[in-house]
Amino acid sequence: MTVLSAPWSLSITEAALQIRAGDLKPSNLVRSTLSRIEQLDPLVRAFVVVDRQGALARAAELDAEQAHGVIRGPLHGIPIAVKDIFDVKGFATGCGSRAYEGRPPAAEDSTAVARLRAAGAVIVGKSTSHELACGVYTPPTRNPWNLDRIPGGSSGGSGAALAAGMVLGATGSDTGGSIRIPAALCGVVGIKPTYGRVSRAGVAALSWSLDHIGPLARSVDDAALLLTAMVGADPRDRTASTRQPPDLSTDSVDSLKGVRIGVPRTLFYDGIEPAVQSAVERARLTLVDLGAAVVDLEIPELAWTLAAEFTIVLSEAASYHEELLRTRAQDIGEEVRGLLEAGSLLPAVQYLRAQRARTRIQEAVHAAFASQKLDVLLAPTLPATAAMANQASLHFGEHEEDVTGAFVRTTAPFNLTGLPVVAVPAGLSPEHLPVGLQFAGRPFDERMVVHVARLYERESGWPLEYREPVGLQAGESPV
Amino acid sequence: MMPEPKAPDLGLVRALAHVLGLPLDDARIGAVQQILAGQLAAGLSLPPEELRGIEPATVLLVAWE
Repeated sequence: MTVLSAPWSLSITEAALQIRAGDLKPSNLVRSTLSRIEQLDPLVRAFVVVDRQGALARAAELDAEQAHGVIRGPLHGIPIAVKDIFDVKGFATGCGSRAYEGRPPAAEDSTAVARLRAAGAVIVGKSTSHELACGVYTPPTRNPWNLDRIPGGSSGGSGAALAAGMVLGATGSDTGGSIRIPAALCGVVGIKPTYGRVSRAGVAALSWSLDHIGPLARSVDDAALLLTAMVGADPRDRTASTRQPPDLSTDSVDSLKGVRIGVPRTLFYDGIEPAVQSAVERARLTLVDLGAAVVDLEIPELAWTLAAEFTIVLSEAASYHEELLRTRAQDIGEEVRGLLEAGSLLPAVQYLRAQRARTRIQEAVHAAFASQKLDVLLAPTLPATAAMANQASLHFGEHEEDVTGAFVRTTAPFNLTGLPVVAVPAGLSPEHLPVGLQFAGRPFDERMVVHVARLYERESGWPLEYREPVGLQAGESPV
Repeated sequence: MMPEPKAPDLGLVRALAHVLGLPLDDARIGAVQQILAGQLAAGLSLPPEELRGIEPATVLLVAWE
């Protein structure tokens, strides 16, 4: 029987209150999560490396600060996982690929990690990534809700570690959904902020123009706290925004009166599991009950999403990994290697055609916001729940779609447009698998999407206290 | 009259890889040819006539203000 008051089961918000009050020491919290990792990671396999010694040493320093009345903020002593495409000083960045083996340890932290550390977060380990952040399966990691199913990807280790209660927060990257896909499949929250809101410096690229850095956590409040620590201008990344950081603190407004929400039909409902469709419909009613005006809309240009997304990703990834392809291609897995090789051969005109289509998509989405006076868009995060580890395709009635294409179809529109998105749990399917939905807002209006997601979360009935996933209750043996 | 687009054949993929210095052995040519053909076909679903006057998204966000 799990003791739910154990420190590892606390939210960041709850742990921060206890740490500030002196009721919880960072070292006790970190020790509790390390025990949880020791117990469950042989089953879930969400970590590439666990830095037990480093985490305990850092926690001891933060204990000392706490004892002297110094609290850095709400992340003081909070244990987090860092996706293994982020540089963490002293650790080699593995990117989920044998082709990265033999690289020296990172000489410095990525900017996002440095900022989280400065805010008091304790890095307990590096979480798995699908190879080169290019895929949605993330082997060998297993979904805590059903160990035969995928956690999603590419930030699959971060999603699974959170769902299993092994950390309180995590980092991810999102090029075509890689924060939101594991968030949806693992029943946690993910924020893909506006393009440029969080620096990409020190994070391995997949596609420069589509990569977004952001947090995953078990609640909207927790994810907002992590994001607040990660944002800001950075001389190491020329695309990092110099805008004022968003104020994501909770406010007293407890209704959505005056908020206008658009539900784009094109693309998102081209194939969708009934459980997901029902969840979105329920969410719509919840939002109306909260006072929002909800309107359907068509954005036909979104039909170009997959063609534009894959052309841009494959071309940019092939360029980023050009040297790797020439020198260590044999060490890249078959699936990703084939994509990179094909990307190397795509004509420049096709890449530019995709970037031009992207402009059309951006303009069309902007026009929809403007003409309908929208504040946010509501959409299913994914059209389906977690696939089996060996499953190649999904069936939506008569329609068959490959798993990667189906998942990216509903997430990539917001990579192409760069809009901020919060992905939240929206209940469980009849098979006890999490279903998710997403709220997308205007550029740099993270405050609005967090506000709407926070109120939806409170009303939706998804429990904010830690909920043990079904897959971990069966007491299966490690593999 | 524009010629109908055709999928790249194995010989073309082999030749392109050779010219670009991409180490692509014979055992892999077929798989790469299939992915490339799929991507090229998908790219053609972005019709040039719909993109007339449109510039690439080199500025990464639409200026909404």
